[in-house]
Amino acid sequence: MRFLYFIFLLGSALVLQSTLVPLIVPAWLAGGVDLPLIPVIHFALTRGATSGMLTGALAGYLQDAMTGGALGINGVAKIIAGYTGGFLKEKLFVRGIGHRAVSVSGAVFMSILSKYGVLALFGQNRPFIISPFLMWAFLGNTVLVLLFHALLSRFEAYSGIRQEEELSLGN
Amino acid sequence: MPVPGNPMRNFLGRHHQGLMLVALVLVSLVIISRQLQDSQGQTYFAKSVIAVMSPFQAGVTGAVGGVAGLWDEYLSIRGVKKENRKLREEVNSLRTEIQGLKEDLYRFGRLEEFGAYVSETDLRGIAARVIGESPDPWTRTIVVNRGHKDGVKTGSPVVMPEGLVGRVIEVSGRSSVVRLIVDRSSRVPVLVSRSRARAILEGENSGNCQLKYLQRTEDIQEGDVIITSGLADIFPRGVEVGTVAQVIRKDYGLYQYARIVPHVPMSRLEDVLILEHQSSLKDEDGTP
Repeated sequence: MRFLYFIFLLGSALVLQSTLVPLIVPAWLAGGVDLPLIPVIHFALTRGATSGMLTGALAGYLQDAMTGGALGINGVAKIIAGYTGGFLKEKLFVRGIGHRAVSVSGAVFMSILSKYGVLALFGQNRPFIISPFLMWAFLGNTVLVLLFHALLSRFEAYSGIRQEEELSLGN
Repeated sequence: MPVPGNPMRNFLGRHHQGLMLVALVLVSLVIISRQLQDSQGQTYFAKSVIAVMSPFQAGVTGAVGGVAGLWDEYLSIRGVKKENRKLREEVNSLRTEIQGLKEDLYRFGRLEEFGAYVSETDLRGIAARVIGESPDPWTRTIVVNRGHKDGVKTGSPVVMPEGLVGRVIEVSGRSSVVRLIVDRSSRVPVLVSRSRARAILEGENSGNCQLKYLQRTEDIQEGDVIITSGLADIFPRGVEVGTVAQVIRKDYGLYQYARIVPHVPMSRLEDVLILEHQSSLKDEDGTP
């Protein structure tokens, strides 16, 4: 059940990223929306940095494979996002919305930073600079992830997925 | 959980997330770099590998190159040494050959001069090589490589194109001893070429001669050339002997003297011409 839920969440984010986002978001902003970040940061916040990193790696590589870009660009971004989310969750001991917002924004920020950093490192983009587009990407994704993280957390609690996981982990 | 006594496992346990992050990022970067190409069409992976490996490659290549270079140098030095030795031998051999050829050329030149001299003066002679010199400082003689088997006779005059050398005083089968005109016991009847004044030339044992028995009233000056007078049937007439270097006229006495520098450098004799004895010439010519 947990595995299917994981696959469903990841698959949905990837499919919607490539189908729905180009339809509903203006073209000049569409590039900034990163739906696969939702399951990555969500799993990082709820299950820890290791889960976050592994989910990030899988999501990032699949995303790269689907978009036809260089394999690993989104991989790195989401591995780091997953790690950052998990790391901040452990350090801040997520309890309230404020703490969640810091963790999510930190993870999104690191995701954007690492993505454009890697591109700059390999000479594929100009060095990372603060631009309206990046600000939109940061803010938009942060809000999106926060929203979906809250929804998914409620859903997991309601559906018993979280309890099932906690029981399986012996918590 | 930390495991007591196993620091490596403890370290891995404590930092497994960080290590996993580093490993995943590194793997991703490698994967990315394998796909992306720079402006020259080279993948970043290849570029990174080259960048990382090139110092080692350079080091190994340098070391191997150095060793190979040293070995090559050693081999080439060995080869060069051998070649050098061979070339030295060849150079020495060629030098000897050249020296021999020079010598032959010189002798040939001398012989040509002798030939010209003989044809000019109507004298007949035998070319001879100086093979020895008197070891006694009180006598000035040389040994030549011609003897009675070559037709040399005692008393034969010895000349060079430059002038008179001396006279044969001893003859053996294949060699002869020649007394030089600078020997103290040498006596040569001479003339002052310009004034025709007669005198006797005596050796001084040094490199010079002295003109004696020259009448006080005779005309002689420094720079005058002295020639043989042909008297005493020993030396042919008119052979140049030397040049007057100094005239010594004392306030008293019947004669005046002069110091003569021979035209032939007596200390550097190599080849000489032994003329037929004057008496033999006379015999053949039928003249007294």
